[in-house]
Amino acid sequence: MLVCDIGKNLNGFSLDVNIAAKPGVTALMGASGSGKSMTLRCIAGISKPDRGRIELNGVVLFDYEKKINLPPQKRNTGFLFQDYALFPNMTVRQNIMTGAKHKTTHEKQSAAEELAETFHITPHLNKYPCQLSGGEKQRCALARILAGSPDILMLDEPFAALDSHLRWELELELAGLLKSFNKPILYVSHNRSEVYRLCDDIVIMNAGKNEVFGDKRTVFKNPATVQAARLTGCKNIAAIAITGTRISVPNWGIEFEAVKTPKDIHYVGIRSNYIIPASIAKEGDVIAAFPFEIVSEIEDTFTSILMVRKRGTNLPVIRWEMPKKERAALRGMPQELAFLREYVLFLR
Amino acid sequence: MDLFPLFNSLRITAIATSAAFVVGIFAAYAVLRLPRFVKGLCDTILTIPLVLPPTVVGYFILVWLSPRSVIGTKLYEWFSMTITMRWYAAVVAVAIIAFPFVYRTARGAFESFDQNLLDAGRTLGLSEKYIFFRILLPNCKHGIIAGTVIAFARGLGEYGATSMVAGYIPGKTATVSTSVAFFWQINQDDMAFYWVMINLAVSVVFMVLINVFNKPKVRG
Repeated sequence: MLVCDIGKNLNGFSLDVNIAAKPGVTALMGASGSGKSMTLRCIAGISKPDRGRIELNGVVLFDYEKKINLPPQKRNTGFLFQDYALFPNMTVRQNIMTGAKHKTTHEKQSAAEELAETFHITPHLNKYPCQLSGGEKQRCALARILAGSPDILMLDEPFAALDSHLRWELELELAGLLKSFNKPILYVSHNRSEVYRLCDDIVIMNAGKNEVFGDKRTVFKNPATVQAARLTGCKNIAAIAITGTRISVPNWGIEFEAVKTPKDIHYVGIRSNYIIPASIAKEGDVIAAFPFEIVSEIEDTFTSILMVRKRGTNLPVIRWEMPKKERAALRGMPQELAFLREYVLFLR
Repeated sequence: MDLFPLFNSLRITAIATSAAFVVGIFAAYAVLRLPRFVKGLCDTILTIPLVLPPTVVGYFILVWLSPRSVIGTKLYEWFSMTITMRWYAAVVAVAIIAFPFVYRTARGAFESFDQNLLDAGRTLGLSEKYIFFRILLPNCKHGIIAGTVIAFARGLGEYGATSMVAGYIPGKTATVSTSVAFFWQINQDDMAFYWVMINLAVSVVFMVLINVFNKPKVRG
């Protein structure tokens, strides 16, 4: 169990994070510069917070008030750097051995060989990092980290340095590893699908603060904040104006009756693949329907993206996305588009 | 032909460069970890022998180490030892002149070194000593060695400070470069030419060495 409640000021940027992570994978999602990596660095002890407290499995790693600040060497954290940070002057074997905390060189060596076996890099034990592929580097770095049996794993965008065609296979491997590691894991990523596949809980970071925390299904279904909606892939977000029980969305030119108006709501969002023609929607499910015109059409790999807006207006466009097959079936354009009650996100 | 000046030059420069090598590397490492303001100040002080005329360096050494200076008096009292006008006075002079070459290149190499590797070492539980000797130094060795070779070459040709603090005493403090000046001054042009040629030969060898060590690394 990790409890991390810290703050840090860095020329104009202020980090103010309060997160708890239980055994399992907790994703940290956020835009660049939202403080994800800095949070990991503070937990690992290679950056020092200005205030707060970090506790891992009952051990206090950092406590500003009590002036406790364990050096990174004593924190026993496993930190996977974005570029893997393998030591270029050492072979794969030597790299893994540096992570092992056994007493004798002989023990370290056999531990390294065992881990190399697990990570399928035995043939590369005597190679140098520059002779490895991206995937092999990642495996070597993971083996090196696990050699020290860390109390927490922190992965900083583990796939950022890899070609996309390598990612899938490695992700499957990593998924197995993450499942079998029965301690907290923090996983920093930009990629929402990757996060959804690999993680259990999600922390959304925005401008140095943790904005949303929750189970991944809940966060994706109801992101609660604009930033969370964007990071979970919601493309259409617009400000709202509330008059009595009516909610109007000026940017989309629609208005609807609010069943109940949740507090602090200033925006609504709708995912681009949840918009449907009004003709196929069930009456009771529709929250708003409007006549539309197509501004432009973009063909994506497997989907068609239509940029639409309310007919006869000059409003900002809404992104409507569907599989190409459905697009082809849409030849006779429907008259109206519908937003379903179930899929409209109300956002802070 | 008396080859003592060549031997003396090599001896002085070897000892002085070794000292500059060790102190320069540690100074570079220490300065990098200082707070910004002190860093700039220390950097200026440690680099200044590079831009000062060697005679000024010689002047300061004389002021501090001559038998009439505070340190010089104590050294004589405690160890009956005078430093100036001895071959080891030249070691002090050459070490100071050569120091910035090691210091600057080591600093540059440390600065451009990937900090993540050091941090990775720390999170893996490696001691600072291990990280310095087994990760930082080996990966910076090309730059540091190249700097040291330049320091050695510069030290070998040192004239200004050496002639001030050690003078020219045949068989005692004479070096290659002071020999050239000495023989020229007493009109023994052929001897001056002889030592000029030795100087040139040594320099060529060092230029070759510098190029060998400056070659881009093949392996990461």
